[in-house]
Amino acid sequence: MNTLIALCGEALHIALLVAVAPVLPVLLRCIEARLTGRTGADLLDTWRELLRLARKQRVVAENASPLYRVAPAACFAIVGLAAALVPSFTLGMALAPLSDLLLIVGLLALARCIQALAGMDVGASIGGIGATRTMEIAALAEPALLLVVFTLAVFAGSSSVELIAAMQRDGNAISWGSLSLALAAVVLVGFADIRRDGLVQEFSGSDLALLNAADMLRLIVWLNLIGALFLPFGMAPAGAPLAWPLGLGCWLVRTLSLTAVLAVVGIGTARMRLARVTRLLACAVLFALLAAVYLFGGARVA
Amino acid sequence: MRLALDPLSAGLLFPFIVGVSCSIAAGFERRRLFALCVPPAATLLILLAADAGTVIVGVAVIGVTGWLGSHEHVRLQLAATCAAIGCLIAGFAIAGSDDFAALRGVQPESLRLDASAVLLLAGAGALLPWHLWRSAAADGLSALVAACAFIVSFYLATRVLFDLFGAAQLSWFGVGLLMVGAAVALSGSLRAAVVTEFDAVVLIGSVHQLGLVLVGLGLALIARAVDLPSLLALALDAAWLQFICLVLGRVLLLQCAAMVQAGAGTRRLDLLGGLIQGMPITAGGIFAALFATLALPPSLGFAGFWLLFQALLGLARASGFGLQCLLALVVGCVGLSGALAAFGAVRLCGIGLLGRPRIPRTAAAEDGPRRTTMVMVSLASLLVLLGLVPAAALWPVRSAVARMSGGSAGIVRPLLLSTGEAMPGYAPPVIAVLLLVGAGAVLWLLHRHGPSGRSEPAWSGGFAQPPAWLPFGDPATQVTARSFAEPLRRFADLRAWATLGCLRETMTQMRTLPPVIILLGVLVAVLITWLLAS
Repeated sequence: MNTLIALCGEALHIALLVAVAPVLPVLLRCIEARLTGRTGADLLDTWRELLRLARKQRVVAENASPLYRVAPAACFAIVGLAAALVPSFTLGMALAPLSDLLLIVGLLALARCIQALAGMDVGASIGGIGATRTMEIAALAEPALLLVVFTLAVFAGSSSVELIAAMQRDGNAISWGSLSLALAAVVLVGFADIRRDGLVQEFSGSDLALLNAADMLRLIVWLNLIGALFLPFGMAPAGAPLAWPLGLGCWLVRTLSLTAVLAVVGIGTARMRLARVTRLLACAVLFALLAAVYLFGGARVA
Repeated sequence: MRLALDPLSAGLLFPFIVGVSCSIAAGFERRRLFALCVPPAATLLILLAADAGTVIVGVAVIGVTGWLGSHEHVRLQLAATCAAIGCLIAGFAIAGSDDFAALRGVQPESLRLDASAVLLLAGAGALLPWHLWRSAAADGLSALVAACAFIVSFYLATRVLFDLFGAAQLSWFGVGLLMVGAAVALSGSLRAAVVTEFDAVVLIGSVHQLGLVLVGLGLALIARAVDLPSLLALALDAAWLQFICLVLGRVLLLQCAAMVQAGAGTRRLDLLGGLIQGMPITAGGIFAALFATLALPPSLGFAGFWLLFQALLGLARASGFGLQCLLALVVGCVGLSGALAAFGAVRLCGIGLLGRPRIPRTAAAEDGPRRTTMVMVSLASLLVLLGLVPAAALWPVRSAVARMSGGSAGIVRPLLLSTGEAMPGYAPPVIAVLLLVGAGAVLWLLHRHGPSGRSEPAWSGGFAQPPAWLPFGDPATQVTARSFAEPLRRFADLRAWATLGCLRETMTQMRTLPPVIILLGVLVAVLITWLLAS
């Protein structure tokens, strides 16, 4: 029975991802547009765009290597797996035993590396510059993220997303200071990770559709991750399908409000230069380090 | 001369046999048979030694083999060998015995023990191929000698710290190793991300792995000092996996680097490019080796990293405020160095293997002789397989770790790494299957239902048509090794930060972030007052 519930939960989770992931970016742009006095696009725009691209013929550069052909599918599968691992509305989904925070961080890094390599594959300068930027931003984002993982994992006793989310949900909260610093660090890192430019230059047709879909999934991975680690209010416990409607409602509210926050941040930092992104990320590292120190200091007092 | 085979020596035979046989099989020449066989024989002697004298003889033989090689750092290597022998002799003399069995029973007083341990570790450290830090023209023999040196160093360090002085409390030693390891890892990957020669990137990149091994050993020492045998086993396992990555990944990468140099005729990254077209097997070997050493799932490096992180985590939960802060710093350093290693790997592959050829010679490069490529393919497959089943890589040292941690062998299940019976863990085969199924399904769907593709010349990015004598396009329109690392170079250039002008400029730019700075200042002040008050 429990296995069946876990499988149903996972299936529902994946269905939610498929339904919501393409809507979120356009919702983000819509809120941004409304806040800056323009009318935004239609909410189903991204869906139409994806279908249009998937039907188009893809154009491959003559000197492209096998890596170029596999990269879009690989990126999509990797980010998709990460998205399937992060819980959204309920704990105890079928893939829950695998959902390790380090693994999720590693999967996102793997997708990033593959995308950077694919961007450099045909030897165009724009792809190369995009790869440089992506990898440099990652170099600073990684330590911040690992420090946050470390802080939360020291608190929960394990790096499993399930255990951390369950502990947060049950109210055994870390001190608010540590938590808010860690949250700030994760928001900065996530914000730097979802904006990337120049890497999809060489792709067209279905390849471009896959890479765009991977980017959408990446956005929802970050939103779900922030939700599960810091704000798991109303998330259904494992094996309790009766609590799913509440969990779904809470998840929807949480995701929408996080998207709104992201839109506001996006307006404030529109067209941010690379140097400023790295500086923001340096702040994120500092925040994450302070979060760890704060937690340890609190533990000593207690 | 006394010989003995205990679990630790037996475990180290695994990387020894694989590394040495692959090196010899790939670089075998009849006229160099003697030079190729002496370092492995001496290493075997050290691994099987049961007294200090045999170890020192073996170390001396490895050092002397430097004369037989043709590389340019013979003098440095001989000096290092002399220093290592001096340290080892002094260390064993201070410890009071040269027989391993006798040493295990002797409990010298604390100061003597510390001095002896420091000297012996310094001896093991001096044996590492440090000369590769400076330059890196790798030939087959120096690669073999270096692989042997890594194995001997790791063996001596674990033998001294966890077997001979296994009952001693060396916690300050562990803290020292931890800090040295983090610094070594960080400096290695930072330097590897900016050097512009193919084999230099490879060789210096392995310094990053060495740092992670040291961090693992340091964690194990601290875990022993606070009496947590399960953590000790976890940290030793982590150090072991990183060590396997270091030795095997390095052997494979050096063979590939030699092949690139023979095929393309240059080691300069800025002259390479597009090698994946002419040298697919070499390129595949480089991809496999770099993937295996990086902390990207589902690779062997990620398994080692996962265990290392769990050890850091467990130790942080069981220690005091000061050590916790140190461990947090180590986590930051390890994360930064891992990300920089990924940066270096993407740079190496993206510029050297992908893209367009930058000179005609590179376009004509081909894979080397069949024997060498066979060795490369098998070593690459071994690395990938070990990444999928890390328990197989841990199996050779299982009983040695159990003995060193006092009976607790850690939880080793064939398909899952985990920290406890009921704890969720990391299951690489499942991850790999899910990824393969996902990517395969997408590719199949596209192949079956998607529109067919067509090939066109790559877009030039808006640059003018290249002249007729540049058939692969203008190389200046591609990213170069130097320009790829430029943002990093600018960011990491500490000398520039130190100058006043730069400081002022940074301050002016930072004015754009006043809320962040104010918030940070307030937080630090609150934290300090709070810590002082409690």
